[in-house]
Amino acid sequence: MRKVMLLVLMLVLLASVVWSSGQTATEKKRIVHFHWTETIYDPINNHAVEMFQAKHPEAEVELLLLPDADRQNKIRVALAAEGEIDSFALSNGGSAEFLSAGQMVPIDPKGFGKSTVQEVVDMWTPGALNTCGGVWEDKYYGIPFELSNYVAWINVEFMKEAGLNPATDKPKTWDDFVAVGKKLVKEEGGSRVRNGFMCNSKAGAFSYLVLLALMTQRGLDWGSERGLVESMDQPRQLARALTTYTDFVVKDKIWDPSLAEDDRGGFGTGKTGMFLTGGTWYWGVADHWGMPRENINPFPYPRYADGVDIGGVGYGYCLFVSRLARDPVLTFEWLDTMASQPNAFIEVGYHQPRVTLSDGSQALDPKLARSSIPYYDEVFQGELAKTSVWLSSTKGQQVQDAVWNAISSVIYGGSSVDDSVATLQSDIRSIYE
Amino acid sequence: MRKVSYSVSRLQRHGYIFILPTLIFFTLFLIYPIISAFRLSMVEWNLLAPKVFVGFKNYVKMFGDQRLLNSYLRTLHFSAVSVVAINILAFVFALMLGSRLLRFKNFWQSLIFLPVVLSLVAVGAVWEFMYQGTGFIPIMLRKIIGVSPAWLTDTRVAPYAVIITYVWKAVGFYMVIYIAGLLDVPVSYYEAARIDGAGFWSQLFYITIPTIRNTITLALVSCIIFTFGQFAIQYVITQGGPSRSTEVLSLLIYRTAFQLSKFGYSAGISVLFFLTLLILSLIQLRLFKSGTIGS
Repeated sequence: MRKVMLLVLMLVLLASVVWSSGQTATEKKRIVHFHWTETIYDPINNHAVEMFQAKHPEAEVELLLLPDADRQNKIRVALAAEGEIDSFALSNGGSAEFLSAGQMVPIDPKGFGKSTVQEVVDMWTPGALNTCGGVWEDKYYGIPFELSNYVAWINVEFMKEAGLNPATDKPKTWDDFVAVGKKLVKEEGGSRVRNGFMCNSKAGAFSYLVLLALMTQRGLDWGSERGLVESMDQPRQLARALTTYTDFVVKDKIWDPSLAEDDRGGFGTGKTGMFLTGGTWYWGVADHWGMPRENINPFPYPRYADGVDIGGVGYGYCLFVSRLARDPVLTFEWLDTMASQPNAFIEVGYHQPRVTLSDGSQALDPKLARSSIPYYDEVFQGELAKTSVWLSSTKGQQVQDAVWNAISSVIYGGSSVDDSVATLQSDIRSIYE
Repeated sequence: MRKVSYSVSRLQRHGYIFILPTLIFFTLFLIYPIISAFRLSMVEWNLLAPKVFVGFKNYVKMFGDQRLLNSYLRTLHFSAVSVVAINILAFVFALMLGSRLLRFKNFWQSLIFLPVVLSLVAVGAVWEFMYQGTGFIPIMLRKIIGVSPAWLTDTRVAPYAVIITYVWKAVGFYMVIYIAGLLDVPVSYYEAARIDGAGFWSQLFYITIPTIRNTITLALVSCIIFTFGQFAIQYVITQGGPSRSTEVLSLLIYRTAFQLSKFGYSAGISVLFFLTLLILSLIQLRLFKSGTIGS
């Protein structure tokens, strides 16, 4: 027994020696930032790390580039585990849950070399912090990192092939959309090889955002919790919007979900003539797929002839300083650096609504924006004033799940629209009871 | 020569020390998580806000949860069909590979076993592409029989798309179990049976199957347990769709926690899942009693 005790004691001593030798004196201030990865943007974000570290030799930034689908959960788990997480990026659809739980720190103007928060807010386009999900209970928390809006996209080569004129035949109403979609459908040997339209057939988020726009066009307020719950008392409007969308599959047959899963990749590889979930950044994605820019055109979301003049959903991303940040002021300085390259981003299609940098110089160059983003003024900026609002709710994911269930039960499960609307009403009411 | 005194209690103490690392490992990574899951099932928590103790409310909620019922039924359907298909195919392959008439046995055995060693995620990704509208399977089916179902977008067909993929992946493993079982059947039994005029089917039903009863039990019950807990194949190929037609229990647990941020309720479902598997394991222990050293 004594020999065993001695052996255990030696093992413990050995382990502590090994552990302590692995500890090095922390000389640099660490900032760990959680972000999403995108091949075309990663080099720009890595360059921000270099710039910041050059300006702050006492600091070391670890930029965690995560797949977008995993990012929010990894942030959640890191916060719950009180891990190393100084700052992170969230979309306007996802930030409310985190903000309501006090997981972020309000903007500290010292991080930007300013005296007041308003001076910081004024560095971005008016209303940008709100649209990008950086405001909670009238306090500012987030630094806008992207602001864009979904518009419709169409392949003009396919239009010409179908005998349509790209200059005049782009759809203006949903009826036009279906008519054009039918002409863009292509079949070979009895199999569908190209859809007229498609959306992501597995991930419900994208269909949810399209349906959100349709509901808003029907006069329903799906941009607020109260408005969403109240809209459940209008089954006719709910059914009208749901029917428009599900008929793409069920009745009009311009969308065969079995052809491909991903709409953005599908559009880039010619599997669909139109899709509805792309912002300015899609130009960069199209380049990545090798799709020539002259072959594709964005255009405003179609409207109902008798509906509200509202376009696709407006969305944005914000950068936040975590409540666990070791040096919040330094971390805000890091976020300032990260959001200081709008011209580098706009060249690959990524729009950041920054007007001035902290040193007072111009941030986003409007001329560069116009030259880098085809249709920047007439489609994107024009529609930005008429976007449908993405619901900012602590139960946003549950709402999204319920809406996708309503959509998929019609397009896949053969359910009637009326039954689906009834289920949706029940689900939404129980989420917010 | 000096006599060494020997004591049973000393032997037992040394025995405990030897198994101590394993005990610590299982306590930390099995017992503690199970207890934690049960504790977590008593709260409402989204990892961000403080936990709210709700007692057994999550369990009460489960009784009226249609989505949970759907997942349970989907899991039972997936398990039942897969287990039957896997075991029948595995047994048939094992019999074929035991036949003197089959040549290149090592090649066929390796070919059937190969999917077992492949990554489940990679298998799922490839089969997903094969099932798509312009994928290999619909194209071949249209060429051969003129029609093909919508494998991944028809709620009646998608569960079978997942089952086919899973059976293809798993059958080789159980084939090896059956081969081992068949090798244990004394050859003299078959010789005696042939002398008595017994044909193939008589030998199969009166000699082979009764003799490898324990092997069949082992294969069946372990297959049920592994299949019941399947997650990756549904997640990769269909993500539980279309319209929740392939949303098995493990996928619902994941989705409830990591998409809907209901960690407490998800833990409750996982406790229910654990109890179901516990019952299945007890059945296995009952049907297949293993001997202990010294008994």
